[in-house]
Amino acid sequence: MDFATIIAGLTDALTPLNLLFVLAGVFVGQFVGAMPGIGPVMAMAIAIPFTFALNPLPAIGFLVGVNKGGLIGGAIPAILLNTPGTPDAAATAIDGYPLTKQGKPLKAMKMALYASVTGDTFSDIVLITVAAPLAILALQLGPVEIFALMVFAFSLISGLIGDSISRGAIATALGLLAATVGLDPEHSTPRFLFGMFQLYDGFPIASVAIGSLAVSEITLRVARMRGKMRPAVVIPKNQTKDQKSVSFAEYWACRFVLLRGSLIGTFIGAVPGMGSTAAAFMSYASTKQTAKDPSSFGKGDLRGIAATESANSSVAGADFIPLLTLGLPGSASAAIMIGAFLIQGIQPGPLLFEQQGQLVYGIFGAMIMANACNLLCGLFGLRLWSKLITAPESVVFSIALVLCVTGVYLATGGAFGVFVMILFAVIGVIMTVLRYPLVVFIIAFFLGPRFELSLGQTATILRGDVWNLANHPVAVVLFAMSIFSIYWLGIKKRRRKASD
Amino acid sequence: MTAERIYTAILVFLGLGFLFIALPQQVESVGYGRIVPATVPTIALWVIIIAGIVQFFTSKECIELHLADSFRVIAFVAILVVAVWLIEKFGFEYFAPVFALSIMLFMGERRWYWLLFAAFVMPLGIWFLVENVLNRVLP
Repeated sequence: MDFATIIAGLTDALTPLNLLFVLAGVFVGQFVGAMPGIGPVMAMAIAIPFTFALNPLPAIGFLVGVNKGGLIGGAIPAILLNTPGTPDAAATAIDGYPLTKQGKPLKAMKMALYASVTGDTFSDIVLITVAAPLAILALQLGPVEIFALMVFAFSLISGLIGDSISRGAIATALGLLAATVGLDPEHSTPRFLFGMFQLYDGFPIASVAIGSLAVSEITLRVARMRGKMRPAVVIPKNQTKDQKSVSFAEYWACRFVLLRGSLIGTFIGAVPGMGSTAAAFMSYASTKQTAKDPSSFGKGDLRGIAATESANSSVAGADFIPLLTLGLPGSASAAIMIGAFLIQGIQPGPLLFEQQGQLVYGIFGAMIMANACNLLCGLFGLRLWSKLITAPESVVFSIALVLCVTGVYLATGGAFGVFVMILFAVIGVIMTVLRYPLVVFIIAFFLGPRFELSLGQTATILRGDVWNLANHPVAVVLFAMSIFSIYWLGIKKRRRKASD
Repeated sequence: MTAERIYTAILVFLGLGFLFIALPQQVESVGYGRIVPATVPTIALWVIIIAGIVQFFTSKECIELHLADSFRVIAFVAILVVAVWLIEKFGFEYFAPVFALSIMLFMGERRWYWLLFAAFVMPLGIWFLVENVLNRVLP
């Protein structure tokens, strides 16, 4: 591809019309991301019909904006209400919500914004410069390595989140069990339908995510509510600058955390099927693990927010690596994006760079501009969202519930999905009360189908003989790291409990 | 026996019940392939049972359950179920405002302006946006 094509493509992204659609997408994305129940994936799905009439670049630019804006918007309710707007933001709540309780919600939201934009820009630069070689590297991970990577992710996540390893293991197993409902991916035989044909496709993802993360939190807060109505979030007046903003020194202190999060997110985004939720939790886990003072995490540590937001946002750019170079969508948002490409008559794949280089670099330009719009829109929007969300709990929660019901109804196409949402809200309440880590359950549920598929492929490749693992050294290392992390984290937790 | 141990024991028995009663009835057995449909559910259930037993004997956590909170959760979920059924049966535009209103009253909100805003303006606004602007069908 010649240099002139690259410049022409990047220049296309800067035309006022394209910029306007990117900005509109970012604004819509931040708004819907901030609303628990309607995430960027659903917003993108709803928006696709409206992009039919547009040219490819503004159409894709708009959807890119919705996706990127949604990742930042999702952090807002996670920080303010402990109710993640998107599953990706669940890890952000771990340190974001304690900061809100300490009267520093603006500081937490600004850190989330800066970390998101940093991670996103990092992954976009990686995408632009090393898209093709990185995708080839990611593709060299076969099913055995992907299965080992998932086992490692599960061991880290279940070991780090929650009170004990046994609780984390139970939550993981419950998530995997819930993911097995529906047709078995290998033999297409039904499992755990209990006479309900609607479960052939499994539990709807929207119902599970919104039910267990949003509705269960609302249910618990309503149940514990006593006496006078109060705002859902109390942002103290007369805050000092330190309490409401992130200084450059604080940002700079997180530079290695941001870099690690961006690297993890970019790598995981380039591996189809892993997703931004796993990236956020892996980044959080590794940051906590390497910190000198891990006990400060979960109590309002800015590094926790920086780790999760940089990782989950950097997945958005890296998602495009397998999408554009190989035509493989690696996530739900990338799957919607591939649909938008096909509607526009564009076939993503290796030939795209050759045949429509100008458009590809136009999209890259739109992605960079979306990051700038995200920063500007966020700095303005954070104040707006935090003002909107200072309404009384009764108003915020009743509207959020109506949106959850509407969103799940639209996403699943019927009331059955809404009843499933209520079922998972009850499961979420029980797990929270009994101190089982709910987020571990959700991650296991999301990764469950991929886990089972990888297990089946691994068993076939190894021909049922574990010794054949010797031919897969990367997988062996990952399995060894999984065992070691469970042992090490178990010992650490036991020592901490003994010292408490 | 502590409440923590009672709940863990219930979980272990549920796991055993699923493994030996529900799984054979609800998962078809297949005689071919490296893994069968029951492989992952079986692994997950054994993890639940073993981790549950470990937790039963080692955990010293103290779980506190408040009866009043439990009743409020049950009442809240009942409102949700009935509201969704009514919305499905009679239409979103008629029962979403009733749903929002009942939730607000349940939470103790009595200020008329907030009740009016959240129970009527927002649900009808959502209905208008989804049905007329987005052209998506609500019940």
